[in-house]
Parts: sequence; structure tokens; C-alpha cells
Amino acid sequence: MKIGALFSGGKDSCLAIYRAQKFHEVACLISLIPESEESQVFHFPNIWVTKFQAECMGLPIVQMKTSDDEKKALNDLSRALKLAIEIFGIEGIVTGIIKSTYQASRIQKVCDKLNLWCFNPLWLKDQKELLSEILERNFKVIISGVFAYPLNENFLGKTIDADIVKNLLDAHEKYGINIAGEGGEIETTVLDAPMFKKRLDVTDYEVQYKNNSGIFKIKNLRLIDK
Amino acid sequence: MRVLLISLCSDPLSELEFVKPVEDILRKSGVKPLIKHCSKISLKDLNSVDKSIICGSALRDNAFLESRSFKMLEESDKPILSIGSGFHLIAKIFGCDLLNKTRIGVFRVRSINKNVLSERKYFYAYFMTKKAAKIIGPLKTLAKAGELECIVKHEHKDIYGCLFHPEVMNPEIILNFILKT
Repeated sequence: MKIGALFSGGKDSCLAIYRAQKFHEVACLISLIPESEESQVFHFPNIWVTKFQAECMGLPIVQMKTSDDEKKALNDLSRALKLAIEIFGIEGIVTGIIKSTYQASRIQKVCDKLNLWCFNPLWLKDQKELLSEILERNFKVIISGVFAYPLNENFLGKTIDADIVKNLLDAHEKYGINIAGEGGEIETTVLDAPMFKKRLDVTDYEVQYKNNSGIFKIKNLRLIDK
Repeated sequence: MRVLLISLCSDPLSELEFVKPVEDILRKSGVKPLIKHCSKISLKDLNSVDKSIICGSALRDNAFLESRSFKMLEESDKPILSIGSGFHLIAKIFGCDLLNKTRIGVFRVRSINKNVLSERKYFYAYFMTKKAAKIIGPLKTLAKAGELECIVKHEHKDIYGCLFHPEVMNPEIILNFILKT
């Protein structure tokens, strides 16, 4: 089956693609780009990188601007999926949703209306296991946003490794933060993964941090052959 | 305890979403389940374990309903919990008509008869279904979401159907099935 991948550029959507490719042809990536400048800057600082991640995977990408308004955003998702059906002939999608019934149910409804299969291969996956799998499979993932105490600027731009996982686990035990970041505590950007034919190298960046929130904004990058 | 998890998924990618989470709940409680696809199960399989759980499948995945006979579920005397689209299977086997009703999201469930799966009168549960059933015959309704019959039990056997997905918000239902039936 040809499927499209809902893609944010973070570790969850990348791991979902990695799993889906074992069973299906991922024919394209689908990224929704927030229309509001504020959303883009603070919550999706590196959404522009998805185009280059797609190039690293050798996959086409459908990008569509989306509204902050929920109803309009679902219409935008529907339009993006229709485009992917028309151009790439997808019969289903794969997402990196882990635990959010809010997100999952809305995407299921959109897929249902379009007669698309919806696969969520990370559904209810243990947060610790998820990070362990990222490490085992040699994904190179950096933390590109922190939005909850006690995560501070020291995490920004760091590659997720065993030490970072330990720090995140400590923060989870003491403060209850979701270490997989699905609650919005952290944003991640994937620079390399097993299905990448090229990897990304960040050549310029800027760190912005204030009041327990911060971003690692990639300003420039290059693609490197593996 | 020997527990059999039965997959209804026609696509193996869906098993990560519908079988693995149930397996994880069991493993965390110390039970290592045996997993088999529904196309390969027999009465012997059901009778060789203490309990079986039939897991759900994707919204578009109803292939199992027409794929083969599941008469062995009716013949088995061992406890069975049937989740999500597994509910459709149990309802069909025991003579209920399936109705086209889509419920996707979190809905409030109301227990209408005392049962071992959930002691709570009201709780919230995650539904992802395009079918419901008009419950008749040996199946009795234990809980409803609105007018939708969402937990049923065979009147003489420990065979349960759960239309929502307890692995998402109500893991105690799975554990109660394991510990109390």
C-alpha cells in the first residue's frame, strides 16, 4: 500500500516512518505549516527543515499552510491529504501520535471521511522505550525546543543520547514531565536516521530562552552524503 | 497464567497499534501472552490457555468478519474478552445485527449492570468504531455510552465484549478480566 506520512520533522514522525517502511511504501511526506508567525517561531522553530529532511529521505513532500483555528486546521489537513491522494495515490497515512486521544480521534475522523487507512505505530508506546529505540536505531535527534520547568537552555541543541535520556527521566520522576515530549514539553528535530540517504549538518543557529521556554532555531544547514 | 492475544488486523503495521498496547499492559502485570493471528486460531488454541483477549483493528479493517468461521469462540468455555472490532465479532457470532454507527473519540460510559470488569458507575473511554450492535440472545448489556451498548457479557459464560478500547484509558478493565474472571 502507498501511504503518506504526517511529518513534523521530530523524532516521533521519523520513527513512525521507519516502522511503516517495513510494511508499506511511504510515497510522500505531508507537513502542515502554521500560518501564524508566532506559532512558527515559538512552537515550530524548524518547520522549514522538513523540506530538507524529505530530501535526505529521497521523498517528495506536500506542504500546506494551516490556520491556528482547530476547525480550519482540520480542513487544511483534509486538503493536504486530498492532494497527496491525487498526486501520489496514497491509500493511507502514518502518524507519530503516541498518546493524545485528542489528536488521534481528529485525524481518524479526517481519514475516515477520505476513506484512508490510518496507522499509528507508536500508539501508547512507553516513553522510555521510545527514547531507547531512538538511540538503538542510531537516530540523531536534537532538542530544538523546551517549554517546561526544569528543562532549560542547557538542553537546547543537544543531541539526545544516554545522558540526556537520563536527565529527562530524572525530570519525569521529579516533575512529571512527559519525556517523549508529546505534551509539548520538548520539540525535537531529526538530523539523521536509518532511512536518511543523506544527513543534515547545522551550520548556523540561534538560541532563544526566557522564562522556562526556549528554542534552538536552525538558521542554516547543509546536506552531507552518508 | 497463560493468556492468548488474538490479532484481527489484516495489516501487520496495525498490530503495533491494537495488539502491542494490550500486550504491554499484560507484561507489566507479569503475564507473558501468546500472540496469534485470528486466521490461525482453533478451538484447541483457546482451550490450551486460561484466557483469551481478542484485540481490535483499524477503522477500515473488517476483513476478519467475512474471512472464516469463528464458531470455536462459541464452543469454548474459557474466558474471552473481545475489544473494539472484536466486539463486532462476538456480537455477530451470538446472533446480533451489526449497525452502522460511527463513534470516534472520548465518550462517557454508564454501567447499567454490576460487573467485574469495572466497578465504576460512570467513566470515560476511548471509542474508535464504525459499527455497533443491537444486543439480543445470550448477550446481556453491562454498560452503555449514550444509547450505544458498549460492554456486553454472555449470560452463562465469561465471554465479554467491549466496544471501546480499554487499553487507552481503562487498563483496569483488562487487568480485572485477567484477575477476576
